[in-house]
Amino acid sequence: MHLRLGYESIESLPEGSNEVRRYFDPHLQCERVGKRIDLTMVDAATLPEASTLQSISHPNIVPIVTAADVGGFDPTMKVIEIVTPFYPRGSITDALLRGERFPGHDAVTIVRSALLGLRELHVSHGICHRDIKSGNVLLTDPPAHALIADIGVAGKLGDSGTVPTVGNATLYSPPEFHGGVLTTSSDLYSMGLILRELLGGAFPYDAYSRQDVYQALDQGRNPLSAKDRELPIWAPKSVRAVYAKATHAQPSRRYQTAKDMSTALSKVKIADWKQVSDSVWEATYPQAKSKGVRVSAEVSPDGYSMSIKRGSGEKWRRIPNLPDETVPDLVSAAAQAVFSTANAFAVSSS
Amino acid sequence: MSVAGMSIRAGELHIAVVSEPAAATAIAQATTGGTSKLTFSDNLSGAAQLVDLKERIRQDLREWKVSSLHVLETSKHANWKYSSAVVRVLAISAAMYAAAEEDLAFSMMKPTLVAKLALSPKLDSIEPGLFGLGTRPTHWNAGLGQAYATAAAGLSTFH
Repeated sequence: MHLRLGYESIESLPEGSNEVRRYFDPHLQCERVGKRIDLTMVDAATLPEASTLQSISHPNIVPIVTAADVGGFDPTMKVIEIVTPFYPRGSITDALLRGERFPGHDAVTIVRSALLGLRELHVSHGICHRDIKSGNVLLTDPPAHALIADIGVAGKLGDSGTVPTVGNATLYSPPEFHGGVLTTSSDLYSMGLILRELLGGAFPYDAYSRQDVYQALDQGRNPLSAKDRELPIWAPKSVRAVYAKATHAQPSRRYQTAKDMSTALSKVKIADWKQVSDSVWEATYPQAKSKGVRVSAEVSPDGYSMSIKRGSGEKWRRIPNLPDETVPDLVSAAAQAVFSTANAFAVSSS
Repeated sequence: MSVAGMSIRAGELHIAVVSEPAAATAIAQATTGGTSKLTFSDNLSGAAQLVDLKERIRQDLREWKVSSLHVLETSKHANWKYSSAVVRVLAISAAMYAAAEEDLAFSMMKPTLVAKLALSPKLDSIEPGLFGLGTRPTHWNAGLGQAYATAAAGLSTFH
């Protein structure tokens, strides 16, 4: 006797190398997502995705609904469909490409939620994800906020806490990808880049071909340009420190655990910054959204003159005892210090 | 069997895990890697802050695979500043909630009981050697020592 899943296919989703479809389940009246895998093509060093997902139960990891054999293929193939719940907001990549922007506070919350899922994989299950990217972190409602998805190339960490790379170089791959050995800090490196995307917008994915990425990693270079790795100008010092540590080129200088990275992020206070013109940025107060802090930069003989004011609408007043700062350029440490000061005013005011 | 003890001081939560003592001079054996220092997240407020703390406590408990969580009560029963009392109550609530979600036994331990078991009339001067520790770990006097003693009391009383 064969059981049959009476799902109706709604659409194919553009996800990685596997076929992914959105289905409607007429019996349960809900939508599902199915990922089709030919098990004969799966690298022996990767964990069996379906049974591994079944062994994990965590609010920040996508659960499995079922796995089904798919017929009609060459008998030498072993094709299955892994069925998971459907999350309407999709991944962080989906949201960024839809034009969603994430206030700093939300960005930090999403990354910290995803880190809880990653921590569960690393510590409770001894698994390195090996493919952390914004497309593999799904967005959902609070309190979960974010879920780790697609453990299709995940590997079991050895006694030395390492796992070999698999051939899936991405923009999020850490420098050690070239050396063929990854650790939990490799996943955290990728999570750092997700933080950068949430704060500064999606990477220009189309500007990087798969070949470019492989070539850069092979040559020991970062596949992402320095410009694309930059945080937005308004990012305060505290979040810059976390980002720098998470994405340090040397694995030993990064966060070694998802818990440590999450703890560091829990201390970050970041306002909702918006660039309102080429030289003006505003952040609203957390408790009074109509008011806020404004940073403006005017060209001066020595670079830029930056000022911090507070107020709302058209009325912006200088903050007492806070003179304008002259900075050499807007990406200098001096300019970042001005934004950190402004950020501190924004998050502490109500 | 491993159990966790928690001490809450000035908004800081110290958690420590112990198991049965390995040496005759110890009252419990500290578990390697079984400590945590948590505070409420600075970038959250209200219910989101409470849930976040609960999730972090829960994740620690999951990873340590403990069978129970014991929180040290306070001996200060009067003259609380409202804001300090709220922080303490919320921290206890987060711990209770996390233990319940992980299906763990939970108890509040009286300081007098913990002090008696830790052979120390003052909980601030607990000896690390009682938990098989050769040196005094960081945060010992800030609450970690008390967390170990509370865990040991939980181990002795409930298991």
